Amino acid sequence: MTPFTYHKPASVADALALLAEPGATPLGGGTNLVDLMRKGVETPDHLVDVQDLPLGEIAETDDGGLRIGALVSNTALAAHDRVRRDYRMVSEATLAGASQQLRNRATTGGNLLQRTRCYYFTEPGYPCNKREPGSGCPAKDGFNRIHAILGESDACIATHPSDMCVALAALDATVEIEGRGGQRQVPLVDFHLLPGDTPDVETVLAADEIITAVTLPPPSDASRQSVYVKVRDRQSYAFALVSVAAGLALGADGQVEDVRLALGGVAHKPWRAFDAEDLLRGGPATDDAFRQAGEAIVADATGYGHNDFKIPLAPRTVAVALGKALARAQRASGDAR
Amino acid sequence: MTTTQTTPIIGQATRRVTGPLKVSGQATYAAEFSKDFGPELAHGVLVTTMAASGRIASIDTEQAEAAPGVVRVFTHLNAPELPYEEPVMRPQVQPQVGDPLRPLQTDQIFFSGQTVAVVVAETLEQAEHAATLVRVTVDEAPADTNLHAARQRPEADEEQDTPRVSAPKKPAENSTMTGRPSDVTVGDPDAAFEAAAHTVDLDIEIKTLVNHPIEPHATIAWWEGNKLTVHDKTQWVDNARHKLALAFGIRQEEIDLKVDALNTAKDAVESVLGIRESSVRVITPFTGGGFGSGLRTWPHTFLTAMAARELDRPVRLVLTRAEMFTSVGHRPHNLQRVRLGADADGRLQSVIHEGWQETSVYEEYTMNLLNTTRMAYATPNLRTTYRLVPLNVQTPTSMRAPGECSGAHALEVTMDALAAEMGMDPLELRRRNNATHDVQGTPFSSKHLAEAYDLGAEKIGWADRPLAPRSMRDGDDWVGLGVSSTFYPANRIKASASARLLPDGTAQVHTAASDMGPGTYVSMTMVAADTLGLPLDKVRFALGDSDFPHAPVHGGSMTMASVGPAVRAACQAAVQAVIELAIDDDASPLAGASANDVRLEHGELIGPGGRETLMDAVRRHGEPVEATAASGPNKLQMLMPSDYVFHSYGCVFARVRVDARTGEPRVEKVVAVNDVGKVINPTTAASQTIGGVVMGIGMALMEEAILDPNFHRYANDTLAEYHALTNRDAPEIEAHFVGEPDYELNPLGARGVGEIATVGTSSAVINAITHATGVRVLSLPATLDKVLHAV
Repeated sequence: MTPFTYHKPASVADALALLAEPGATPLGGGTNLVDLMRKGVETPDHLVDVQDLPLGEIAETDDGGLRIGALVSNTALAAHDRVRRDYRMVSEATLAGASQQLRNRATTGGNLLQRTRCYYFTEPGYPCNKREPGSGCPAKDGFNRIHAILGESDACIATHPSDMCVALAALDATVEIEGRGGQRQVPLVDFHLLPGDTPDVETVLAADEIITAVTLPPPSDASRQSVYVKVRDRQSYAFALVSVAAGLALGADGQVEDVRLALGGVAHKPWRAFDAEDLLRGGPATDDAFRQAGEAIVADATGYGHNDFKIPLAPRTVAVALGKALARAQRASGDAR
Repeated sequence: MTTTQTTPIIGQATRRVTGPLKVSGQATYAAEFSKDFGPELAHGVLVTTMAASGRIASIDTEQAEAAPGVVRVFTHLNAPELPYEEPVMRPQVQPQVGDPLRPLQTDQIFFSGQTVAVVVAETLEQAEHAATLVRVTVDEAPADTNLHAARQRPEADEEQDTPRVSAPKKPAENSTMTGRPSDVTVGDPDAAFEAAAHTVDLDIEIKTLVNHPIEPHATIAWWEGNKLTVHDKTQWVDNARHKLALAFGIRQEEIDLKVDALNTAKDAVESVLGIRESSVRVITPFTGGGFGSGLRTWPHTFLTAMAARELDRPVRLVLTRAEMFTSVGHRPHNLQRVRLGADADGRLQSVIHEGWQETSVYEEYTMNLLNTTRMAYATPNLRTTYRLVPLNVQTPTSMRAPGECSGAHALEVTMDALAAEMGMDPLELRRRNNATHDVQGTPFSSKHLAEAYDLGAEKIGWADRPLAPRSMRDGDDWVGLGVSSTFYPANRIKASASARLLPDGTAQVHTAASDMGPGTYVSMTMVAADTLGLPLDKVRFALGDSDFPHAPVHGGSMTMASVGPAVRAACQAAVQAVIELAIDDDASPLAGASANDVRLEHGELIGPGGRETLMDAVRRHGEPVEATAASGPNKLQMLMPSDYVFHSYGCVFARVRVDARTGEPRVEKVVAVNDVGKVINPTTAASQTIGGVVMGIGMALMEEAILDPNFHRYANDTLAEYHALTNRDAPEIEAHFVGEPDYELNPLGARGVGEIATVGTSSAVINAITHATGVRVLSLPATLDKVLHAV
């Protein structure tokens, strides 16, 4: 590990002042950053530990949504009554991530900012355009079973590892950002970037800004009747090969009235499937329709060999998730009757 | 009167005596002995190479040496030249052919991850930082890690001194792990295969697996003059002592004699030399797993001792998890072709099993890949052909059931393919081929496989299993049942122990054995207490110190069968010494009796004229009574002439579910039934079996160290990405035992549990997946992408 100075500010303003220093990096739960520092992938000069900032609350917003402080732990978020009831996929996605010990430490803001688990990024001995722009991408003709099939670029085929963010993307969450110039709000689907020619730039967050909260809009039937399905190589402590956050609301005719769909494990960012939602909305809530919507998502997908299986797996997983959301929607309407 | 034990101990379910120490953090593992040191303890960190082949062109250590807290940076340019002698007769834990890595003694690079420098600093953090500042440049040579391509090449000429890299090579004569031939032919297997009514021919692949005990390998070493003391994570303190002594050229005359001593009782040699204290001492009371990674003594241990000597202060070095992939061996990548031919009734007529296995370019690591095939089933015609392929990887090492596990997997998957080809129940096929003797015609000492099949079938509900695949469906899951036989040779070698009976009514028993988790502490305490007729809490058993009487390697499932009889013999010898004292003591009710007329029963010495407890006699004597004894053959039992083949058998049944939409495989239940002779402690034997099954499921479904094809380096070198089973993946597991004590092998009748426990699980799971989905996965692990197309 490279030597660094350590700061633990008590206010957001102090934190922002410290982060203005070149080479400063915010430290949350440390579940990803500390690993990367030990590997020599991250070499911050200054660590700004934000854990004392007053950002640890989950509060209701005026419109009935939820404002989740950036320092709310994954465990607390997943266990929150209203999250479990009104935004079920968020609770399920969060519990699908990492292990209990890591979820106890990991923060909401940190979850958004975690780095890819691409093997070639996390070992500094390899070239990597994300770590050392211009050095190349060994994943493309290396072992790429866990890599992206959507939105990737010649420079980078890494995936975003978060589960929580997939559900947040599906539910139109907003990221609250604070810098020395003031606050701004960014839709979560616009917060993470595709790799393009600059895979080293992963989010719209500037170096001297921090995430203060993530806001969920008021709940809907689709957010309540929702599910997170994660397909992985082992049942705990494994990143998604493909994951799907799905929410569904039915009209009186049994047709799809509202639908939310986002995928993890397939792209450099949580992959909100807007087009597939459009295909489904107003149509039949059937397995065939679900599968077709999934097929549409991967119509232009690219495999790199080892990850080719994700192309058929993604629509299958979409159908599984929508099927479970449908069962929840039907149960809810049954309960209502 | 002193306390005696009147009810049986051996065979009773007994908790670990070390349990409270372990759960309260008081069991001290190698790296944790840092608590015994102050700031004089320096910390070493390795620098490893990215390049997989070539020569070091330059190493720039200037920046590292200038970093805060750095004491010294050792490279091949400044490390002292050390003897690194090899014993004339190498212990079986290391390859018989080739030269072990002599760290920092050469500029040659053989594999990615090889150590090229050690940074020693005042603190761990300072050493870690400075290690990142060492700049290594390598003149790279082409590297090769492609076993598939190498398999296709013509075989290397046996007569060549230096084999062609990357070509199959027959292991040197008598160089195999157990000293048995690699290639065996019985009858005319080719003609029999051609003539057989039913045949199958499968190519099977098992990727690299890494032992990954949870305790990382670690060493603390310090010197007092010429005496070296080491805490080292090891499964064999005596061999670590021996190898360290050879490396540093300590007491050469002693070492030469101890070459033989490794396979005999250490005390005998020490008495010849009049040496009571060795100049190298290895102390490792606890070993947190190993699965074979602690059999050999690895470069980092020598480097730690070297740094301690050069710096004249204690040094501690702990491997990182990434370094655990390339520093302490692994289960080698292997390819196997299995051909089976059977007559119309399913009786095997021909078994042809070929294996190609990677080794390093500097040592020939052999394992028992095809040995079990020669023991598995009755067949008149058989051929096994075993080839090594030197590649740019570290030398592999033994990982739990080394060879047997991989070889049995391929054989048992192919047996299922044969059953499918015949339309026969796969369990019935195995029953029909159950052998009463090995292929050379020697009978087994004891074999209860048929009972194991019956019990396992009952416990898993085999009778209700439809023959055809894809015929069990539950909701969104395909469900399947699979079976595999299990095999592991029973072994034994000489071990020794000391027993010391104290006037306070307690006994101390010592041996240089290890306990990497199976419960050596409790089982040996049980043997001693049983022999002496004492309650368990009156016996203090200690192990893991090379100053204790010699014990063989804690591997090969032979600790119980080897060390157990030595403990019993030492206790019996101590009892005999007490009897001699008592019959000479007028105050004893046994006074004047002949020693032959006195026997020990439930802790009481009973003579013609009276009786007293053993420990009363010791108390009256007023001083400890001590005896040392050895027991067992000088060579591995399997290499000794014998009327019997000593071998364990059993079976594993697995029920799996495969998600019909996503292909995710999950194991729902496993029933393991093994015949291991006498079960000394049912609690720890079941625990070992469950652990072995868990490891086997990991092998079947998810474990794989992935070699990047361009950089020749393990890509997934973390425990986050190298997937071992989690609790959530572990199913309901039943462990059952059948059989009877095998007194032909040793006086306790125990054959050992540790390795047969993991053999067969992977094949039972793969066979169950085939039954569920119709897909026979031929390349492990069976990740969902390999069945997705068919579900």
